[in-house]
Amino acid sequence: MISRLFKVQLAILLMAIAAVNVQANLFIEINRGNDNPSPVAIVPFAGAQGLPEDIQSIITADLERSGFFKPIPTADMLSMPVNKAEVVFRDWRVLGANFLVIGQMIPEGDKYNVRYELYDVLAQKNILTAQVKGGRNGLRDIAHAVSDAVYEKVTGIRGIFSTKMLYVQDLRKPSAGRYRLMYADVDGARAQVLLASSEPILSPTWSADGKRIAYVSFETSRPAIYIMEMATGRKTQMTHFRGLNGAPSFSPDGTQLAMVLSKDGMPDIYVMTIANKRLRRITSDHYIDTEPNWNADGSGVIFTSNRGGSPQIYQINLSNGRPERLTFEGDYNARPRVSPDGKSLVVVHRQRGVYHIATQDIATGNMRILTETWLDESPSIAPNGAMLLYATQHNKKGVLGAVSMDAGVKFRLPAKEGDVREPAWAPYL
Amino acid sequence: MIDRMSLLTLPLLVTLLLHGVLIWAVVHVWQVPEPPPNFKKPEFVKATLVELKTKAPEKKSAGSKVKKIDLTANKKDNTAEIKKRKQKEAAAQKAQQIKEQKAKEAKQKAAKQEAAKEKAKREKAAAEKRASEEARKQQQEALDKALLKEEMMLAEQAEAEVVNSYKAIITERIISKWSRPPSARRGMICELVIQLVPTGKIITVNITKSSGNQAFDRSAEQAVRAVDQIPELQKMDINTFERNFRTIHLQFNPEDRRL
Amino acid sequence: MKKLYSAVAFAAAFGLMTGCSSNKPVETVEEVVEPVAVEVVEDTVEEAVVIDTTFYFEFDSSSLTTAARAALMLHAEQLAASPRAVRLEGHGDERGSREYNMALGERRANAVRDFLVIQGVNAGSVETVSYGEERPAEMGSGEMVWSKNRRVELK
Repeated sequence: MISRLFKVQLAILLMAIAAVNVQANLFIEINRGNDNPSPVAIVPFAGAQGLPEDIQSIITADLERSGFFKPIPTADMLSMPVNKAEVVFRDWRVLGANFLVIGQMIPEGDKYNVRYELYDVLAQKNILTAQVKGGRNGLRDIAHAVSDAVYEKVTGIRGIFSTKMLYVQDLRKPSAGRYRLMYADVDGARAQVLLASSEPILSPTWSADGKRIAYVSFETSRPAIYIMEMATGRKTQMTHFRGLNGAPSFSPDGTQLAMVLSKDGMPDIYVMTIANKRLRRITSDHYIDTEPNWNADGSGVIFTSNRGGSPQIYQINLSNGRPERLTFEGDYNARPRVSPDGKSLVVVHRQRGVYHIATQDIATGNMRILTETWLDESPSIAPNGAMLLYATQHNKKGVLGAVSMDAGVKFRLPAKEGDVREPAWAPYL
Repeated sequence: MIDRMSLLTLPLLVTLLLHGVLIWAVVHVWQVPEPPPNFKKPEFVKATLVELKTKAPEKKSAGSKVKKIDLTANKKDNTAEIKKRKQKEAAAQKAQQIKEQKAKEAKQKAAKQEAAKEKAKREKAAAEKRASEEARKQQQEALDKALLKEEMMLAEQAEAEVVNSYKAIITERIISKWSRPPSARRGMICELVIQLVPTGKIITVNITKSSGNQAFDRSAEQAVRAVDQIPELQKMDINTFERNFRTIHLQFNPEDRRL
Repeated sequence: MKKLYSAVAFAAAFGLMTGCSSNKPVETVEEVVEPVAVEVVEDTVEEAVVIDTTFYFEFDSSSLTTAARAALMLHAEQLAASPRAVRLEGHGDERGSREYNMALGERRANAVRDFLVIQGVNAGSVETVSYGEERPAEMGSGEMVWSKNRRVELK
């Protein structure tokens, strides 16, 4: 009897201990993810009907192109809420939406005050309420501003939908305006001709503040580097040396321009002080040194050189002139660009005779090919560092493509007349 | 004389007989208990362990479905043996009691003649008996303890396997729903505590440790909320559920990220 | 056609064995293979179009081909006789990065210039310009197209 009683007591005690132990320790580690695009519902904004631009479809296209979102078709929507009171989370949960965007456009004189809200459908809560104002001819800007805000709230990264780009267009037929330097929204819309010439235009690039651009033009029948002020369109010829005058790159502080010149023999890297056009020669050897690009803090220049037998990327420290080879994978790595955080490079990389865009972690040297197309060139990184534009070919035409820095998202911008190439993604303005 | 002698001899014989009975009883008590449990215990432990081990792989090979180990089956086996042993013990005790009583009755008859002697002897016997009983009790308790421990261990082992199989289901569900924002980086860690009900429905989700990146935290929370329910948990024994799945700690740690 | 011209020029050069330029009216080139050309020796320099003015290169190479060397020798002779400013335009195919191709185009133009200078042409009268891949002779992709775009044009 005593034995039985003891046994019961012991059992209770042990069970209690076991229960407490196990309950405190049930721990699950989630160390992988699927990374499927997050379903998002963008409801047509109230008061947006009949406008020259379709706000909803611009936001939808923006978010879809980001690769992080999967928009839900409008036709599937069970309700069209305009404000918080009208949001029924169940309606969106049923559609599998993780996020919901609603908004309304309130006319204020000749402008619109656009109020929009973002909801976390799963947590059933509002995570963003904001407004943006704009004129009737700025509807695309309004839509991109909404996309930027939604993207940033959900991803933790600043959006790039409102940013601009430069690119070169070649109409492929000899004419007075065959070569064009273009300025457009980063989705390709609202393209404007900045410059047209019968002679080639190439290597457009932005100053860090987005107020000036530099490019190479053959308009004098020889290459020369120019700087253009975006606000006024005023052009200044910076170089006109014998031989190559190419690959301009603004220093991060905007006071200097790195470039390639071959006036002294072989193509070498020079740095020009913009204010007085004084030149400083950075490399001096019997090889091709070209395509300079400043590193993130302006302490050095990264460039392409064939000094090792094949084109590879080197970095030269401007204070001590010491070069360091950065790429070792493959026999062709050229046209480097440094990411905004200074941690990685993007280059044109040849693999088995095919040219792709690749990224390399500067610290580890690990290289990763990002594109699958052929003849890829001219990578240009977005100011948020999450994506890049590049030039490639499609249907025997030069087109622009975009790829996320983790290679998860790829898309092509709409084809234009002739060849389109050399995209240069503008900084945040 | 003869009569007096015969008068004396009868009680004497009875006394002797009673003594004999008493001695037999004492000897019997010493011998009757079941074989020393100390030797049997290891055998028992061994046998069960082997049985468990052979069982486990069979279940694994049964398919990707939940491995469910029938806890009660094992328990039944164990309790059956224990019951048997208990019955045996009880029987022995009863026999013993009967014999003791008989001896007592006989003693009362002869008590007056050799009271002192008999008393001493009886007391000695009783002490011996008490000691033997005490020893037996201690042994029994030790055995019980060992058995309990063993039972607990086996139960825990079986439960751990069940828990692990459900853990795997939950992990996969959450992974399939986890869309990390592009700002996610290796080394970011977000911890959540979730509460479930026996239907497998996740009823509360709370962030207990932020990664410092709101978007990353939200992605973890959304992954869990998107899973919503793990219906498989309905098949689970309620006690196992209560002990293990009522509250779950989750740690999101994107080790597969390149950056 | 260009090949034929170059062959004719080559033959003419051996036939003459002089420092004179070989000048033939364009319309007579095809039938005239013998020293008939001698009769029109005194024709003006501008009719030198018969000599190959485009020189092709292998992939990633700035080495002159035999045909290019022969033609360039004739050009050198012409230029020695009647100096003029010469412009050498270097080009590459579309593969690889543009500014690097610009450098490759210049290397080709320089290789041609150096050959002419060695042949006695005044370096000061030769200008080199690289167009890289910006002005392809032929549009499109593939080795057939690319081989026509890797070139130096003498103007």
